[in-house]
Amino acid sequence: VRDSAGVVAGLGVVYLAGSGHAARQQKGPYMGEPPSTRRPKRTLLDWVEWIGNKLPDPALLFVIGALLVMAISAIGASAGWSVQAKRLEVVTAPVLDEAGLPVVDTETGLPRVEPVLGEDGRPQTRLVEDLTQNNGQPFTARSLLSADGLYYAISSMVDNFINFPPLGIVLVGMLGIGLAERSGFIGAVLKAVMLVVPKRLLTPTMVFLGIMSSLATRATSRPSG
Amino acid sequence: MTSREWNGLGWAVLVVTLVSGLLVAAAVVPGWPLSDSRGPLGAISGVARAPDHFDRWVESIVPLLFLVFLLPGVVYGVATGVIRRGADMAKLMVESMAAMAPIIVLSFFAAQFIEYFKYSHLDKMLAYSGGTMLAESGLSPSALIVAFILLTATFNLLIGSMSAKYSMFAPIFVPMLMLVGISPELTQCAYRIGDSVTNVITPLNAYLVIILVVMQKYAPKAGMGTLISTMLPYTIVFTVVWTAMLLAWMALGLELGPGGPLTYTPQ
Repeated sequence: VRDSAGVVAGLGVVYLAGSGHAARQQKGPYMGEPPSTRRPKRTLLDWVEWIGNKLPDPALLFVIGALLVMAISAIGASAGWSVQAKRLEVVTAPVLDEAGLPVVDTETGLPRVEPVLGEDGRPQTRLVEDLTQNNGQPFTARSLLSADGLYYAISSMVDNFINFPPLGIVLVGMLGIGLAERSGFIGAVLKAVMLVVPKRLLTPTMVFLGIMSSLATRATSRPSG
Repeated sequence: MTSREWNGLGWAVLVVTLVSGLLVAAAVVPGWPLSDSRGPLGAISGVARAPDHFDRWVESIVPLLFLVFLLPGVVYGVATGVIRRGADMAKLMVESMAAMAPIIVLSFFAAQFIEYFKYSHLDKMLAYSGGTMLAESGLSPSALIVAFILLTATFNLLIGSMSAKYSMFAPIFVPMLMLVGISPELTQCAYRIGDSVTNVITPLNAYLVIILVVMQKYAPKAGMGTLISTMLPYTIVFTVVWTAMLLAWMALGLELGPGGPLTYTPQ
């Protein structure tokens, strides 16, 4: 099975990582003593795990984020932060005729312009103020801790939730995919494919199915992946 | 696989074929529900005809996926006896929704955070000041893309949900990188790389527990740390190789897909 993993070019990656993994395995970590009898060496990975376990739930992270936004918005509003909206604009130059005079468009009566090309042959661009946004005014921080801000924070809660773009998509998608999974259909498809496929192609097929099932569930997106 | 399962699978595949055929017909035959006024070619290419309006089949892709999975699922369930009454079907759906409870809770708080961010204008201020800084820094698009991949991969350790994280990232980074001439398509491509490579090493990924249980069937003494340290080489190799692949793609200057350019050029 291992040899055939190299067949498809993309699988080489998996194969390389896999052989590195096999080398690790010989030294062991999980072939060694159980962690209780020997004091485990604190590696970077142990710290990663330790910190990971200390982190609050993702939902709580967003609560903390919301509180931070409230605090920062109040600071920004009182400090008078402002940022002008910008946009990219193609640099243009008037079209000149042989005498070096601007060519006038007969339909509009305005001088004709053309994009200036950069060294790479693409139109050159520059940053300009975007006056279509916020009535041309710079954006200023709006405090969520003012009376209006706090009223907004409370009154908008239900709307914010039901209008959260991914929510409806995920739930509708999972109504269909979840049923297909729970009735055993998806499992049966996977099993059937694995039965039909010859042994040497099992690893590539497994990788392919993994990608496909990830795509299928990703199309409607999944909780934590 | 039992003969009953093969039988159910046969019926289900038949239904998938029929439903898919019908949906393709509905998108291609003029006057059918999913067909577009621009004719079959437009309906197939899926190119937007106005900035805020896609072809009908693109607009309805989620309900279509719902049907394409639901119908064969039901047929398979009926054929194998998993579904005997209407109530069984409802029960399977309730179970699916119950499994989604964590994301509903997460969505509630993520939505508040994102909307508060919007209300405060801090999102636009961050996008425009960041974008202006990036444009003036003179960093190459490749360097910015690599930085964005690493940023996404790091955030993914904390917030696993792809959609919740993108709702937070997109309003800031899409316009920010557009100011440097990077297309939204390329930004999302980089996002996808960063979002995937660290999934298998973050202790906050709910599925990691499931992987651990399966792993313990073969290595009973394995713990979360064993799993993470086993998978870390994959994360590193994937990050390096996928970033290199994207950079090579950018160097070739190929489009990411039909109508999906690498660079953003204003009209």
